[in-house]
Amino acid sequence: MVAVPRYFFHVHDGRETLDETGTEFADPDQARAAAVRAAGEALRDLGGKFWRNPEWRTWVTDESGATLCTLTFSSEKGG
Amino acid sequence: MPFGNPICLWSIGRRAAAGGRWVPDALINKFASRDGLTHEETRIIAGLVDHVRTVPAKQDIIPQLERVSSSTLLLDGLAARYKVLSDGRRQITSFQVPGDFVDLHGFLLHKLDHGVLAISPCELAVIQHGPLKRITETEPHLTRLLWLDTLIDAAVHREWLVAMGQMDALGHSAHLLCEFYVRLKQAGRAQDHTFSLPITQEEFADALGVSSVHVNRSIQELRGLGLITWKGKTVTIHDWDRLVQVGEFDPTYLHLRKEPR
Repeated sequence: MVAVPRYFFHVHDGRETLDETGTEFADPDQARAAAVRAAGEALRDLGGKFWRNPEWRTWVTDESGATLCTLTFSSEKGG
Repeated sequence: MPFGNPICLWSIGRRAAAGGRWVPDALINKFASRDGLTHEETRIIAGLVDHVRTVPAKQDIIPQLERVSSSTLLLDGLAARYKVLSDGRRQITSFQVPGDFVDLHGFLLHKLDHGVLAISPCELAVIQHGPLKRITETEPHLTRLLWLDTLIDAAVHREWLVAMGQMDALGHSAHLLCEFYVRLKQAGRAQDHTFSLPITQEEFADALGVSSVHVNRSIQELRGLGLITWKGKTVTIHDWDRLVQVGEFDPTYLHLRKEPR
């Protein structure tokens, strides 16, 4: 049986929260797709609290520590 | 297994006598916890089970859109109702613990609009719709208790809908863990804030309607706050009051009070 690879989804929202347990996905593409959905969910949960640190970032690493992708949500108040 | 005890909280059921019918203690105990049962009513429930079946983990107890002529009562294990979208995304719409019917509504609906999955290996009692129909014709009080069971199902669905629509994943995770503890404790499967929860992160996520990545974060946060540990298949709640607070958990919707129905 081939081991299913595990990917780690870290977040920076003013402080760094590193994912130490990870989640299994069949391949990097699925992990990158999951990163987008999970980013949306995290931002939904943040709501107005987002403005405390209006720079939000998530990045995905594989078991070797290599970064698959980084998603950044930046913002500015006013025009 | 404590065979022979007339009503034992930990017994899932027992054979009435050699070759006799399987007595569903799990159901008798549940009904007795919501209202008193007469000896005659207990005797009627004791005679309901047609046969007992076992389903291995991760297999369907009842496939989606199945036509049913019997209703299935969970005696042991953990089951879930679910629906799958065309691209394979799955929503778990409820969990069943021992003593719960997985499809009492099938008695009148006939064709299920969902599937039922064995999350862990399940032992199930099959009750034909014929005997259930006879109960509705001759036993008004038992009929009300069966009705109550589907009403509580609906109340749980409402609670899940509110949590899914309005709560963040941290609160929703806390809420579901509180629900598991209260329901498993009532079924005699949990004590001292510890219980066996043989589900995967993915199944938990499919029940919450969020990605397993995001659920993983919530569980880590609950762990980091010192509210729970979840090791393998065992969940321990270290701070019940705070978990209740985070999950805004109010067990009213489980209608656990014993009162005349």
